[in-house]
Amino acid sequence: MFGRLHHPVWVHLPALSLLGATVFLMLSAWPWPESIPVHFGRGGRVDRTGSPWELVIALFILPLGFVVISFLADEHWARRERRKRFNWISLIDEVILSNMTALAAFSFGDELRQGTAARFSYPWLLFLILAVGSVGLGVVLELRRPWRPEPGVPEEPEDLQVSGDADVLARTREGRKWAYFESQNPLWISAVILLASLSLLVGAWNTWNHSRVIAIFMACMAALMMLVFGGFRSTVSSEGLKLRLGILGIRLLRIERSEIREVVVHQFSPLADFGGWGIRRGKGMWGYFLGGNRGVKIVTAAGKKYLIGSDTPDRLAAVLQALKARG
Amino acid sequence: MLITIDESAPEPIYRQIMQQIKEQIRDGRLKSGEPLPSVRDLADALAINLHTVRHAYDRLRDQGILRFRLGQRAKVAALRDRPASREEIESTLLPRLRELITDAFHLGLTAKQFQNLVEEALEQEE
Repeated sequence: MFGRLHHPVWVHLPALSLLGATVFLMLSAWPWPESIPVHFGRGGRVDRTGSPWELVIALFILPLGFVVISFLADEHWARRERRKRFNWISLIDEVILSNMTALAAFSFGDELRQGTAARFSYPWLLFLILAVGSVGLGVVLELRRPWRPEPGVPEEPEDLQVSGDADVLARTREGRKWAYFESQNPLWISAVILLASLSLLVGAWNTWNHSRVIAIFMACMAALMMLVFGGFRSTVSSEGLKLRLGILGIRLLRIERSEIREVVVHQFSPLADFGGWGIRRGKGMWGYFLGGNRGVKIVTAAGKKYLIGSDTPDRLAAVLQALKARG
Repeated sequence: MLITIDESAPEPIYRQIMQQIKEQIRDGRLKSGEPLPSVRDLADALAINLHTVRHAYDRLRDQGILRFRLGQRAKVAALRDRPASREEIESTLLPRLRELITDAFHLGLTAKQFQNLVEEALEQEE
């Protein structure tokens, strides 16, 4: 599935150590009582007891899943690198797992062994010690992460100047009305948005009796997330470029024909160059992309740069080039 | 999807839109399941009446080229996995074919010349 790994497994040592510490804390409290405090309400008082296995899911299974996602993200980062760049995103899992381990230390401590109700008190000091230590170690390992350039691959990919496309030029000639449409809406983005919205709605439902304010807030967040469902939609016409978002078509960007100074196909790394996907700032420009590693970079007369993600960047660039030529 | 309309052409605008969508599906630029711009978006971008666009989309749906679902934009339907029925072919293709044959007659073409022309066009498309 992966072939040769591009990043060493040992960079995940801090996160794996924290996970191991969590397992140790759980096992050291064995045998577990049948029922323990699993949820704390207002004021830190226990408002629900349950099986210790609920905590295993929350404090071990979920972090384990997060470590797997972190592994995949780091591999993606390493494969896209053209020169060594500090992968600061890799430090996020150390912070999250430090939190989980601190909670495990509290949950599987004396209160679990004794099975007595207790007031929740977040172990801040323990969390800070674990976080600082694991992040520090993570920084050292990331700095020492080896990287070798692939022969023949330039450090920065060259932008591709787009020459006129005869078909596009013919169809967009003066005297004709024309419009070009494309969208970028990967399936996994839609799945994540739906899942996240559903989780928020379920959380709002469960929280309704405890706190209506939080429940309403969660429901509003779910509604906001659904606004972005549908991805990005680009429309190019004789007037210029418009970029819209989601099912409501919220306008994000408008570039008039007269503003366009340069159009090139640009290769980029979403994680390394912009820190992720969506509406991002990086490399001195605003990026609007949800997938792939190629898009169209537009430089305006005012010197502003925009990167429009596209599944067919050559086609989009050809249309924009034809638009610019008419101006 | 690139749509161009020529308002000075004798062909109605809705037919121009229909023809271009069909051509882009045929040459693979539009794929099965791909959503099309909404009626309003296409009408706004081309500065034409949205009923014109809706008429084009409805005709394409009736021909089985687009599919509509409630709450979603029109999408390109799956391509046929077998040819249409004889009845459907006769009702959609034959009238237009007869029209072409009549036009060829008025241009002075013989049946053989018209047949050669059709074969040349098919070879170019392939």
